This record gives sequence, structure tokens and C-alpha cells, in this order.
Amino acid sequence: MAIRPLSFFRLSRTYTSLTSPSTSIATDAIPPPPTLPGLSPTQPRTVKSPYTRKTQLFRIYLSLLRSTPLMVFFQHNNLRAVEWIAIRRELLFGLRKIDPTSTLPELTRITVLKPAIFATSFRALEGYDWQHKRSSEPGGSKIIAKETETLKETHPLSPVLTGPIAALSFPSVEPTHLKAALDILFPLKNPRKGLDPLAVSGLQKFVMLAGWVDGHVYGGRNGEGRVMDVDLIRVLALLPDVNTLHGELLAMLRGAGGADLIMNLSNAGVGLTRTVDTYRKMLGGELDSDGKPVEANAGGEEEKKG
Amino acid sequence: MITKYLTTVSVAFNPFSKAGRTARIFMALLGPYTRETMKIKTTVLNRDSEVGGRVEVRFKDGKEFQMDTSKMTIADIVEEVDRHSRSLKRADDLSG
Repeated sequence: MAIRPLSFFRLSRTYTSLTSPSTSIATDAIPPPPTLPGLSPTQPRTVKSPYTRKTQLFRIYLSLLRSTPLMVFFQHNNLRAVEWIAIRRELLFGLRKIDPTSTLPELTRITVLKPAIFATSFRALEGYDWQHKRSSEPGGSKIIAKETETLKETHPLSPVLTGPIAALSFPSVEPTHLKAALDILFPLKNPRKGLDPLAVSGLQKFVMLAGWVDGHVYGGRNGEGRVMDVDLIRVLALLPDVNTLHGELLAMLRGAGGADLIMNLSNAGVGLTRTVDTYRKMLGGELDSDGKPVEANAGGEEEKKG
Repeated sequence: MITKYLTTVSVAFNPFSKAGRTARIFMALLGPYTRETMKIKTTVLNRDSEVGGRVEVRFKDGKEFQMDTSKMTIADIVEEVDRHSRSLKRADDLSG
């Protein structure tokens, strides 16, 4: 009976749901890491053993980074548990008010980060382009570490990722939602009226530091993310949504000489087509070198012969 | 760190500079209930500001001092603040 609780504790510390309890209790040997065939693009491959907390955190952060186009980083200074709960609830309810049918509020999350591990997974995302190179062989993590070493000094976000930080992550870049979240969490003057007093006392301990837009949104692929300071985040929150911007662009093109632009652009194409067509006819023997039809000359020669 | 004798703390830092790190950690040393006994003001400086971090502290006896924390470690600040706090504490203890 003395062995069973021991092995039970061992199981509860390994942070895994991959092994069945019966096999783990029977043998002490840790099975090899899963190969994870056909994994989704946001699911990072396991390079190190998945049975340690560090690896799990690394994978969680990498997955979070890959699935999040917009993140706001902030410092949290000794919040009490009840304050965290109140703030998360106010954020959820505040976002639900915008559009009760949308799933955005549930997917907008506050994650408390371990800065060093988060910084490592951030470097792996920004510096090691997983779209082109995938490394799951043993020692792959060392390759990534070596290639992303320089980002420690050069990446603008690396000084931000120290101390007690947390991230507010959005599932898509929606300025209206960002504005609502900023109004609740980081109000410019007084906190919004009607907030839970616990949330208000918690908000005093928040300091917004920086924001990050994912590379897919900003540059089209990973590694080209844009780091924003506090002012830039607030500017982003004031933008209209994407559909309105599309409409404005169309109206601008139509109004300000759009027709001329299209004519000028198509002129070059039409001219080129005509030139190439003429050359084709010359080479094919339909036209002579002066561009006149060949039939007349040929007919004349035939008459002379005749 | 002894925070009992502080009345006002104002911290300014640049989050995009390594020099701002100490000031940020100093904020984290103030406990969850300190806002009931003292005023805490935080300023996030501009991204390209020259100053890395600045901490201003005022004590109950009216003494105040400023520190440019760009080249200090967190242990240095704690030592500076505690030095005066300890003398206040001693006076407090002796008066009963």
C-alpha cells in the first residue's frame, strides 16, 4: 500500500494526459515522446520530452502565439485572486455587450506569463521560421536556440518580457473589440462606471507596456510581426473596421481619377498586345517586313510567271 | 522591503529599454494592499525616451528622494529605501 500513493503522486506531477494510469503505475519507465502525426499548424512539435512543465509551457505559449494575431502585454503588480476573477469577468461581459452573438469575447483571454519561457517561444516564432523549416529530430531545440540567439539583443520586445507580465490575446484584429477591452482594462482617466469595486482596485495595478501584431497580419508570414508602443495601440483601437476601410478605398479610387488610372494602365497592355501580334504575323508570313499584307506581292509574282 | 513608512511612490520607466527593468521590478515589490496606505503613480515613458527608469519616494516624516534607476539593481534601491525606513522604525519602536 505504501507504493501506490507514491506512484500516484508521480503521475500527478507529470502534466500528461497521454498515458493511461494503469501502465504508468505498473512500470516506472517513461514512454517515448509522441510523434504527433498530422498535427495542426498551431500545434508545435515536441522536441524535448513533453513530461516537464517547462516543455508544456513552451508549447502552450508557442501555440498561443501562432493562433493570436494581436497581443497586448501588460505588467500586473501583486493582484489578489479575487481581483483577477473580477477583472476577467468584467472583460468578458464588457465584450459581450458589443455583439452578443459573436464568439470573440470567450476567445479574448488574459494569460499570466512566465517571462523567460515566453521569451524563448517568442524567439522561436519570430526567428525560426517554422513554415520553411521544421525540426523535430533530437537536438532540434539547440538549433533553434542557436539561430535565435541574436534576437535576445535585437528584438524590440525582448526588454519588455521581464518581470511580472501578462498578455491580453485577441483571436482577430478587430479595433472595436480592442477599444472596448482597452476602455475596461486600461482606462485613460477614471475606470468605467459600474465596474465591480474589486476589478477597479485590480486595474490600478495594471500597467500597459507594449503590443504586438502577428507577422501574418502585418507582413504576410511569421517573423515579420510589428511591435507597438502604448500610443500606437490606442491609435489602432480608434481605426474603423476592415469593411469600412475597404469601402473607403474603393470610393477613393472611383472618385479621384480612378477611371483615368485604369485607362492608363490598360493602354500599355493594349499597345503591347498589338505589337506582339504584328510580330507574330510577320514571322508567320502573313505580313512583310514593312507591315503590309503579303497577299498582294505574292499575287503580282504569280502574274509575272504566268 | 519595508513599505510601512512610505506615503507616495511615483515610478516612470521606458518599457522598451533594458534600463527600465529595475523600476518595473520595484513596482512589483509593493504589496497587494499598499494602495490603501500610499499613493502610487506610474508613468510609461516614450519608446525613444533617454531616461530608462526613475523612482521617487516620499516618507511619512516628509523626506523624499529621487533615484535614476537606469544603472541600479533592485537590491540597490531596496537598500536605499530601507536605510531611511529603518531609522523611522527605530524611532517608532522607541516612542512605543
